[in-house]
Amino acid sequence: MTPKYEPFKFRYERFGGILQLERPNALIYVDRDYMRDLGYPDSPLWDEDGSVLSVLSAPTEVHLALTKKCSAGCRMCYMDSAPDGAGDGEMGREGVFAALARLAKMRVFHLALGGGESTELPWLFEVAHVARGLGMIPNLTTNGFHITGENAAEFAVFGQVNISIDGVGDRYATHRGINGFDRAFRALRALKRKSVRTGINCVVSRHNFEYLEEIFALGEDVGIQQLELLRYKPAGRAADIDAFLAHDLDDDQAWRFFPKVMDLAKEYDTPLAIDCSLTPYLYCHNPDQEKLEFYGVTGCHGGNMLCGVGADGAASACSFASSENRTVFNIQDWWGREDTFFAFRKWVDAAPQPCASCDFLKLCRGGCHVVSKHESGDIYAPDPGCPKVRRYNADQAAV
Amino acid sequence: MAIKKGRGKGKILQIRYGINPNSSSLGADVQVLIWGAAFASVATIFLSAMLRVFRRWRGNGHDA
Repeated sequence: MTPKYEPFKFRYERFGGILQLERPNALIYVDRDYMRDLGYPDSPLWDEDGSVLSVLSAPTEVHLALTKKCSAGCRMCYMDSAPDGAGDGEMGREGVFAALARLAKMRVFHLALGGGESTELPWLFEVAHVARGLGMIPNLTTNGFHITGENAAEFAVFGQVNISIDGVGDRYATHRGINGFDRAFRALRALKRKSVRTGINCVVSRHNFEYLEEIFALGEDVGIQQLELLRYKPAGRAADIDAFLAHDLDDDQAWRFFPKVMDLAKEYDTPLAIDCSLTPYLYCHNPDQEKLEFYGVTGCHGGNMLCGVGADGAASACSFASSENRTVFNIQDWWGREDTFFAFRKWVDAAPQPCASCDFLKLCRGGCHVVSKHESGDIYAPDPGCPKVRRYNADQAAV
Repeated sequence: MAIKKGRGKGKILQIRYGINPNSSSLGADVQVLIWGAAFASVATIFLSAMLRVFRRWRGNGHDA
């Protein structure tokens, strides 16, 4: 089946609108005059004030776990997935289709499909084609174990497929406790041979930080479209096996992180993305704020740009946050309410020190609130991994 | 840093490049921080032109 591409899509927002292109892929936020100039009539949303940083009419992307079943059994799985992980409470095929219909009605742009391991589902491609038919771009995160030369072409339905690889060769097992490097590498090659847009997701911790160059070199060798670096998160089995701070970057690495990865991105000509929880490691180097805002290099927008949906349909501000008893099946009823994901959306208003006096508060939004809550029990606490927070805490302890 | 487009009215307020297949957190494309000002301007003008072409192609109201 030939994938149906939607080269252009738009939706209204209070500030104007968001326009989407798929090739090149970009979400372009424009003001009301721009929308009018393109010929769009005024929207009732324009009766209200709003900026690009205020709450949107819908998430731009939804992270959708299709199942909790995964046969890999990684030691640090943040979803706590297992071979027998699929329970009776999962949405299943029909439930996922119902969820897609609701998200499409809200004009969500992107889906990030995950699990569990969604390539173990016989109806994965059906989901992707239905999403395409509804005008959304389905993307996929996978361990790659089930991608072969025979089925690789089918993955062209996805906007992009990222394969999780935290280390090259034996270092693959650093976090996961299993070595699936050869299978993941074969999957990368198979996808590239079929011209599928492909990337690597790499979880960064103090244990693989010094070996990141090997991942960049791998990316260049294969010719990936993106290397996305992710922070180690304290969730699922990763929250239980060890103290989180034993995995998070140490003080020296935290300061070296951003200069190092930018140098590697230039040297290996690898398009680089970092996840929202790593942005404090960028902001501590005082980069150009206007440029960051214009290109959307921002911190936590959980519960606004992003909504997480579990395999049971429970909706949360992000995949690591609790669901607050909301489901995707009536998202239109609660998304716009004042109390929805209040701690995430309004975090900046209650920011403690040192965040409150940080020049980057508006962009950073306090680092990863899931990390804060895990470490201190308080979602409003500053992210203890932020290099500036570390220095502040050390100074306070020395007084 | 909102950018006024070449002709007509209105501004581009933000451009978020790339796709985020990662199903656990938001991704930010930091490649743009490597770009020089001239390249970034050309890229923005190019996107602006593409929007105009696609909009004309879809036609008023077709996708509203």
